[in-house]
Amino acid sequence: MESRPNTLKKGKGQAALGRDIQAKIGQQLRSYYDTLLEPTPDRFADLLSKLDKQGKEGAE
Amino acid sequence: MTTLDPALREEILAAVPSLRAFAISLSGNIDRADDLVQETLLRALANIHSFQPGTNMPAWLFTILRNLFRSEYRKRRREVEDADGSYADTLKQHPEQTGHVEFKEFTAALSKLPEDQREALILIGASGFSYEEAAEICGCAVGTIKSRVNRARTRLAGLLHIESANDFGPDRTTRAVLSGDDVA
Repeated sequence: MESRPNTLKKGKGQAALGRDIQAKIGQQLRSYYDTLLEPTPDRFADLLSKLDKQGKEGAE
Repeated sequence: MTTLDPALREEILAAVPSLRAFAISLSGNIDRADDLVQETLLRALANIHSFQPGTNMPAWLFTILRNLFRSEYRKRRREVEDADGSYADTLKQHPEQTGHVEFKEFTAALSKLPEDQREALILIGASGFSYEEAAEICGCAVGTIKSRVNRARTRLAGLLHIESANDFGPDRTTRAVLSGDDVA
């Protein structure tokens, strides 16, 4: 994966919230998202394998 | 259809956990999220020839999923008025996650955000995309993403009653008055 350019500067609209508030929301948001993250369920890996196999057979 | 390059397969699978978390955040419903991810993978494989190797696989998959959700969401909105009610299903479906008060409150607050703001906030604040990438995923201008994220943060701060630690607001004044600090 290519590195992401970190060129974002504080825009004008960003002054509305204090930095500490933004940090708190950011932290809560990440912990919410982390709760949802699970290792890839097998069904998706299986699905890819199945589709790939079909693709191979179709190509022959 | 050609065979799937093992490297691309790995890239796709590596993106699935975050893709699924994004889908849950959008739909508020685990089952719908899994259907969305599955449909996204089907579309991705059917169109894998249009993916340029070396470019951003997660962003490509998120774009597909977001578009699928949007078209489905528009359809559903015509049928179901109670969007909030369907979002709240997350909590009912995942009882093991409701033990966390913070998670519950945060999910409830997130459900009150307009769709546009919620997806922008998640992409930037949780999925780890840049503003440029999020703009591409949502098909809008970078400035639009920035303003949506700002509005989402402001709204969440209000809903979650998050206040600045350095706030010289009424709380401090009120406390001083109540404790009689400056009163003779």
